Formats: sequence, structure tokens, C-alpha cells
Amino acid sequence: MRLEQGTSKLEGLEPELEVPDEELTAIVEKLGRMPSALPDESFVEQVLLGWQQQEEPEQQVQIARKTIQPMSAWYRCKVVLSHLDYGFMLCGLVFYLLGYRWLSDGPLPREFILPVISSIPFLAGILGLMRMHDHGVLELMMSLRIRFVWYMNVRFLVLGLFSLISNLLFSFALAGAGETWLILTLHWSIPSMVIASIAMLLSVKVKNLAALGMSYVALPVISLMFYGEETVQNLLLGLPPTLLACGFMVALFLLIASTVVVNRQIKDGGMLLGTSA
Amino acid sequence: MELVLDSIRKVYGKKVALHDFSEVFTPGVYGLLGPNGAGKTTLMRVIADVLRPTGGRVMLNGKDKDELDEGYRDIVGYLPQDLGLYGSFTGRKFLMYVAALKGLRRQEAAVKVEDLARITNLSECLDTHCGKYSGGMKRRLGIAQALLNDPRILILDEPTAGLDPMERIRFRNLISQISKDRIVLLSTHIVSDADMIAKQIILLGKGRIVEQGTVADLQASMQGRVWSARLPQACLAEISERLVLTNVAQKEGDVEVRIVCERKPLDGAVPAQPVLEDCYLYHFKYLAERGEW
Repeated sequence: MRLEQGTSKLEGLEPELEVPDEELTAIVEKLGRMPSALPDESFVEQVLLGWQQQEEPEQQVQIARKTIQPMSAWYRCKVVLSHLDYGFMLCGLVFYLLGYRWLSDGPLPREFILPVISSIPFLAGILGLMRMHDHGVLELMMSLRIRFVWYMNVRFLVLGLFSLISNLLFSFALAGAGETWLILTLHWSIPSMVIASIAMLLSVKVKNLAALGMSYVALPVISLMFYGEETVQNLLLGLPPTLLACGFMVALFLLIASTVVVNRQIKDGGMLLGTSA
Repeated sequence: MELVLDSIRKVYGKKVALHDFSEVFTPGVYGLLGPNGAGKTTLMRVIADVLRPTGGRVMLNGKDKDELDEGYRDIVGYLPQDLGLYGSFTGRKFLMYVAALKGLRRQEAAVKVEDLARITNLSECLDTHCGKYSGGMKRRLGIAQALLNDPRILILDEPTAGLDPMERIRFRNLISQISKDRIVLLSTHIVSDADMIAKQIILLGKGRIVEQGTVADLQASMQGRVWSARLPQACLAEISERLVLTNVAQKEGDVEVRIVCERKPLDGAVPAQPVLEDCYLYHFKYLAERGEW
């Protein structure tokens, strides 16, 4: 057999090759039976090494230099508030109203309905906020320019205000203005602040959103069991307003103290080390 | 630019994660290698300002990190090891949100998001929900967000985990090119990633620097400690129990093994050219098994 002239680009340089057909068939069969050697483990690395030399066009990796811009407090607030978990806040409000509806038909005196449900909007909001823990976004958020502790405090404050306004409006609706309203407000604000303190402390410790959610569900349930006791009801209804005001101050102190602890945890990176269980 | 870590110490309860770690970083790529629990992630978290060290200082150009505060975080880009994403966010929305938290104005951020999506090969899926992203796409989005603020200090914890070979090449090329005037700190389990682009390799074990130097330095330090031998297949099990093998290749019925050992381990073993992987295994397997560090 003779290779066709003119079919190769190396025409003129190619040596003449004469192989009989039988011999060629034998070679092809032999080649077919030969085991093909597998590339060894370093093959991929060698190929990568070769490719590594190919540079991306310069303009492709050009990352425009930015100047450091000052961030006003208003801008920061806008950024933080633009991504509030409104869905969770709305859910909190729905559960709050459903809770009221359910309890108002039950044996619990009217004065103790708000103390049981008052923390629900805050708890739902904080659960939405803590999704970042569960979603693995927390560590990134902590490294960004806006100080994370500031970010968290703004979110806590917004949730606190949301909860406060919801409860104030509801207590107005129930009791109107005056001394009755004040007593009612003292009655719900104390457990509300205590639960908020516990919720904040849990939020920096428990990484798993489901576990956090369960513990948050447990808090109003525990307060329902507490306020459901007749002896507790009688004791609380008999308390003078000055003692309730003292209880309010203690609860407020507890809230401030837990905020300080939570802030310290956040600053030290303690949230990263929280339990997953 | 000079980033100085001065006697950084981090203690978790009774466990010391970092023992007085000191190092001076200048622009270039630093590869941080070490087994799990070596303290790599802790070190990166400290540098990224997400974890406060128990002791020591981080200083940028002579100024304390805490003193610089926002000014420091403004020039840091960080890719955490376990970066998750909100499944309901699109890639674009996620990058825009991170850009806003990094202080970029909307218009500037929009342009940068497009640029970085192109660089990280995410342009096609920028408007897809992150919940539908593959592991590699999530990693690339993580790399993109780390570059949003044009960071002078780039901290990448396991950046190539989950990337396919082509993506790894793109990533290496990108890092090589942007590292001219930046400090890039790269932690990885894939030794070859660090080998190819790092100007300096730091081997970290049990919170301490075990060895450091350029790839050439580390390879040179392994001269006379890496051997190659051809053995019958039947001997492999016994040899692998007795010696530290860095590679085993089938060769015409026999096996060719690569051994890390201080002296000639077998009759017929011949010295081999060391690579960075040998150095890694020498420290974290050979010496560790002998309790020498």
C-alpha cells in the first residue's frame, strides 16, 4: 500500500511508506489488543500546570478601583432596613392576633392575654434575623464594613419597636387611656422584656434555626402555663402599681444587661462558636 | 503595604487554637496549608476581623486593626469556608446586598457586579435564585463578593473547594493577576493550588507555624527525604504500614511507590525530586507519627 500523494500537509517531506495490506491488518489487530496505559495520578496536575501559563486578558480581571466613601448613619440605616425580614414580622403579627383570638375565648382573664402573646412579634422577627446563622451567611456579614454589632443592634431595635407599637396599640384598644391602660402595660411589658432578653441570649448561642424556633415557641407556652395558674393570677392582680413599676425596672435592667452580653458575644465572634444543636 | 500579626493567640475554653502566631505579610499570595484543626480558619477569622484574638495584635501599616476599625474592614475581602446563601436571593441580589453593606453606591455596585460575574463566569446565572446554584457556582459567587470592594487584603478560606479543574485554573489565574499589589491569604487542602500561585507557603499545625518558605525553599528542605522504589504488588500492604507513601502507581504488574523518609527506606530505593506535597506529608504524617512536633 502506498500513501496517497497530496493528502498530507507535509507533502514532500513525508517519507514513502510501503506496507502490504496483510501486514497492516495484523498491525491494526495487534494495536487493538494492546492495553492502553492509563495516565498516572499526576496527569491532571501536569495538564493544569500547562494551562496555568495561559493568562486571562488583562481587561477581564480589571477591577475598578473605588475610593472609600463615607457612609452616613442614614445610609447605613437604609441598607440595614432594606433587607428586614418583613415576612417573618408579618407572620409574627398574624400569630399575635391568632393568639389573642384563641386566648380571649379561653379561661385566661383578659389582663393576662397580652403578657402571654406580647413577645410573639419580637420572637418571630428575631427568628427571621437569625436565618443568617442557619444559612451560613453570618460569618460573611461579620466581615463587612458596617460593623456587625451595629447592624444587629439596629435590627433588634427595629424589632423591639415593632413589638412595642403592636402591643401599645392593642392595649389601647383593650383598655383605652388612663390608669387601667398603665397597669395593663406594666403587666405585659415585664414578661415581654424578660422573654426578649432570653431570646436574644439564645439567638447568639443556638446556630440551628429549627432548634432556635422550638425554643422560641416554648417561651410563650411557658408564660401561658405560668399565667394560667390561678394563684399566680391572684398574686399578680393584687400587686400595687409601685411594685409593678419596680418589676418593670428590673426587667428593663435585665434587657439592657442581656444586650450588653449579646454585644460582647458578637464583638468577640462568639456567635460563630454557638451550638448547632 | 504591610500586615503584621504580632503574637496572635486564640484560646477556646481549654483548647489553644493559635499559639502566639507572628508573621509579616506583604503583597503577594500566601498559601496556608495544614490538616484539619491546625488553626487555619481561626487565623483567617482573626485577620478578617470576625473573631477577636485572646491575645496579640493585628497591625496594618503600623496601625492597630481595632484603631482602624471600619477603615480596616473596608480593605478586606473575605470568603469564609462555609459560606451559605439565602436560597430566595438571586446571585445579583446577593451581590448587590453585600456591596451595599460594603459601602458601595448602587450604580457603582451594579457595574462591579456585572464585571465580577463575568470574571467568575456567573453572568449567565446572575438572575437565578441561589437555591438552584451548584456547589461550584456558590463558591464562585463567594469569590465574587470577596472582590466587590477591591480589597487590598484578600482572605480566602478553601476557595477552590467544589470547583472543577477549569474553574480552578480560572481562579488561579485571577488570583495571580490581582495579587500584584494585594495581600492574598489562601487556605487550601489542595496543595497544588498553593504550589502554583503562592509566593510563600506557611505550614500550620496545632496552631503553630511548622515550616514556611517559598515552594523552592520547602522543596529544597526535602532533598534526600523523598525516595522512589519499584515493588512487587504483594509487598505494598506491608510497606504502606511501615512507611509514609506519598504516591502509589501501577507499573506493569509492580507498583512504583514514592516514599518520604529521612534515610534510604528500602534496598533499591532511589532519591526522587521533592514536591510540595512531600513536604506536607513529611511534616503532618512522617514527623507527626513520630511525635516530633
